[in-house]
Amino acid sequence: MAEFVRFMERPNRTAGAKVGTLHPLALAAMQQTGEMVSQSKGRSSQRFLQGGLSAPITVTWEITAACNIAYIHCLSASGRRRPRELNTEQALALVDELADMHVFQIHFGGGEPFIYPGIWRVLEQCTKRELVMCISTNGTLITAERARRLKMFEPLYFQVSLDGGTPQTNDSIRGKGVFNRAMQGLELLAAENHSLTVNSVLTRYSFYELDLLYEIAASFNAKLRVTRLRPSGRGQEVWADLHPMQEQYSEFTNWLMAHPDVLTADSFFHLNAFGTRLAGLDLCGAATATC
Amino acid sequence: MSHAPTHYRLISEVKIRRESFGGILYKYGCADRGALSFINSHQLIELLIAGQQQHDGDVSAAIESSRYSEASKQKLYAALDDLVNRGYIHILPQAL
Repeated sequence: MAEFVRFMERPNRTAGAKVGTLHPLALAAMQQTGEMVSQSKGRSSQRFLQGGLSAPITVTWEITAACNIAYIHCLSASGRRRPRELNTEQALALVDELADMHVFQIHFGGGEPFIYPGIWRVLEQCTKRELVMCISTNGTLITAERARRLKMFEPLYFQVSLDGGTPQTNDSIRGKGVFNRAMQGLELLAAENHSLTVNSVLTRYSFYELDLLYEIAASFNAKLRVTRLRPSGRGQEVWADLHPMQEQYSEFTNWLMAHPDVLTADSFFHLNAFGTRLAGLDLCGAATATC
Repeated sequence: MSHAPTHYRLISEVKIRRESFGGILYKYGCADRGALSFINSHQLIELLIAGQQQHDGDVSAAIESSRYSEASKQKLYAALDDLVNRGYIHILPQAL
């Protein structure tokens, strides 16, 4: 879990010590937004809290919008490749830039990352530059050969999406046949001992299959992560039909209490509105909310 | 208090980055095994980096090969104990 700033002693700025400085892009962004903060003013805690970090900890990268399925609540409305997506050489240069900034981790999403033509070279470069990799995938493009090949890259973590514990529920959201293909992808990845999380968006229909989803994740030695439906992208169009009902949220709260190993990141801040603070649900998931 | 009988070793999943206030520690891992801490001690961050880069993760060796005063050493070992509790460092028995 992320901790608040810890002050173990007063800073000891020894001569020659390299101190993190803001990346030029971060400085430019601050200047553009008018939120430029002097890092030389105030006490050390204020400098940290106001000045931010020298670089992101995790970068979430929608490497392509192309997707082989078109699930109905996709928050990035993915489907077709966007015309200005980075080509492979540009993507490799970006990996180098992020590594040079000392970013720790890249979380690849999309779209479906395995549709991106340069994904293998990008993963290879991330490995060379010692970047931690997470891939959010629908799992349908995983083959036995790919699952084996992916063992070359590390550290690498997978998040595979299932929006229901049955084909009926999942496929009504993610498309016909997707449940079985995603399950096969999970089996192939698990067979190669990849680190897995099953990611499921809570809807008023998947709510009834939480226990099933929990069992499915456990069968692959994976954790279950439940995240909230977001009214963004295609999620706007189906929000009224899919968002969980208030009574479901109440029951979901109890279900989470009974399943403390289920991950939520910061998806359910709003459940505290029911009056009961939930351990872990009221915490920011920054940097720890991926994979 | 003496820490001589133990070796403090950074776990391999820990990444360290210098920041203006000191630095950050990041322990990567799937799902809930990740962790992030903000450390506002340049001295501690430099020690951890030295341990990681020059002593194969052996932070005790980094301390003992540096010219810290005994008082500084004790402070640093106390900080390392805290990082043990937070899962960034494990303790190995000292080889005889």
